[in-house]
Amino acid sequence: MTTYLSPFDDRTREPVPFATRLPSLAGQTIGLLDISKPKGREFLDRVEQLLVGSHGVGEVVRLAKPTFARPAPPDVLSEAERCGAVLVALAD
Amino acid sequence: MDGADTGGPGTPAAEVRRPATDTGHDALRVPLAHVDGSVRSLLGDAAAPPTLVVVVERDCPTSQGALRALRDAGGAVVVLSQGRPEAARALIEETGTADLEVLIEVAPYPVSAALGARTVPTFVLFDAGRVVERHEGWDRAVVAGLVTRVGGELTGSGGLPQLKPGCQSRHTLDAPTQATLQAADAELGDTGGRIEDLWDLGWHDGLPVVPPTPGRVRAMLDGRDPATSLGPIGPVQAEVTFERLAVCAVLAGCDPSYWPVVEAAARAVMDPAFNAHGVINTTHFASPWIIVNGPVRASIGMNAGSNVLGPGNRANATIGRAVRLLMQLTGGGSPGGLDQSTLGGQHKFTACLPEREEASPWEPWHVTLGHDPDVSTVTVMAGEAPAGVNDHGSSSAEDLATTLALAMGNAQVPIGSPAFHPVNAETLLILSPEHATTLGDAGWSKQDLRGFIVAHGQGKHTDVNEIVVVVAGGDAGRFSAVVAPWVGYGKGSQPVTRVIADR
Repeated sequence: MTTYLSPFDDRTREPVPFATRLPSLAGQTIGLLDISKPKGREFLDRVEQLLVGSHGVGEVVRLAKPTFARPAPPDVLSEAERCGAVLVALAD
Repeated sequence: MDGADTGGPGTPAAEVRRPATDTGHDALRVPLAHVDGSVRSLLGDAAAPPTLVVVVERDCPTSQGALRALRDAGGAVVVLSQGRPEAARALIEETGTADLEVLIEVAPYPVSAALGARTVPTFVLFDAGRVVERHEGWDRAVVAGLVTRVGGELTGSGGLPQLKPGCQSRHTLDAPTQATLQAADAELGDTGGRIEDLWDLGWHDGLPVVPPTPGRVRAMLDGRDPATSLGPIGPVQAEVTFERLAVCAVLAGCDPSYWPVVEAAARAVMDPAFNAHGVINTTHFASPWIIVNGPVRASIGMNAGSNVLGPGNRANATIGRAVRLLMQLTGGGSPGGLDQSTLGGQHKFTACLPEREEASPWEPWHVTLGHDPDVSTVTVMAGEAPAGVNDHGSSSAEDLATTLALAMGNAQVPIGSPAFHPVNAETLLILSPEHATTLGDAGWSKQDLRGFIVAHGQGKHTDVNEIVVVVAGGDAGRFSAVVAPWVGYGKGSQPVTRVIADR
């Protein structure tokens, strides 16, 4: 059998599972991440209203990336960690 | 189920088991792609109705027959096809199963492994998001029972007899073929291998690749330490070692003499200022353009003349391709996966050019940046496919420069568009020798041209440092090209220049 050398870092090929889903939004802390694309903030304003008004979300944490074109900086990620779930506003 | 199983050849009753330990296995939550590109995972919804997952492989006759039998059975059946999407589409076509939900899994097949599918077809019954029963191979009575459990009725045979053993699952075939250079047997210095294996492994960009056997990778490294680390790349933060980079260079078709350029280009792309993470992920056209300056251009036989951006030169073509494969494979930027480019572009296969310094009236680009002319460099810039600038009419430098300024201004969002805004990004102008000569003969310096483009680009560029000018191409033809940028300095990507080592 022929042997081939791999271009991959095997640690990055471990299966990444979907996160466990929240049983309910009621009382949860939910993060809303604005990636700084146009109209993302306005869109998330409305999402915040719906989460709090219709789904009983306990706290909404508004997060923002300085630029959509780069990964979120560490301080934004650490703020996100205290949320039960984070919604990301992707498009413009 | 255990009691009902009669056991086909190779599938004794003992193999039908209730694998309680598989329940909740992380691999079963891995997102899988449909043939249409959408994704789902096999687990996660506790409210899901009973579902029969059938693991199949296109080249397996038992798998083909099983799908034909299931074609009209109805019920909640999901097919998991091992191998590349083309194979799944062919399997659907050949078995007439366009109405079934078909998911794809490519090497190294973690879900097939987690399902315990040592042979294909394997039938796995999920209920309430849990694996409750499993059967390997074809046993019509068993499969009929499973189909009934998911609301269907097995009426056809698919041309299969009552019992037929399955074929070996791919995850058991592919695993032993991969190794690291350190682990590979010293005797395995071969330069053979099969291109077909690389199609199956998915280690390609759509064009054939050179099999990365230990012998070829060793030759590429030429005594360098394969464990040398260059740091992390891409959204998956994979560690790039000399070995992995050499694998990409071999796959791309590089000659070992190109290594210093490949290494410098890889280091430049991995510089945080270039932001390979964003360039890989974006829906934009962006991909690295690699500009080579200095003596190395001649020593490895690059082509800076006619068709400099086109086909025909191994070094031009494969150096750019090696960097692309590093981003796509090692860096995790698989097209349609983490590389979400809306349209992509042919420049995403390879985009590498040497400046034709000898045909330029000005100093070469690396000297403009302050490097010694005898030093070789690579400059990487994130950009789109090249847009042609055809000006055979202008005989004066000012007329020609006006054309060039308008073309540079039209890069990305065109002048006059409602979405007009300054690009705030470095933009590449590849100037043909004839155009450069018109400017040079009239006494214009490179700085004169850069300043004119800023002044006459109708506000699109605000800083001469955004204007990157290199001379390249054949002797004849008043054609230049503009490479429009991605998101520019500070916010997205900025050009990175690195010196190429002598060896």
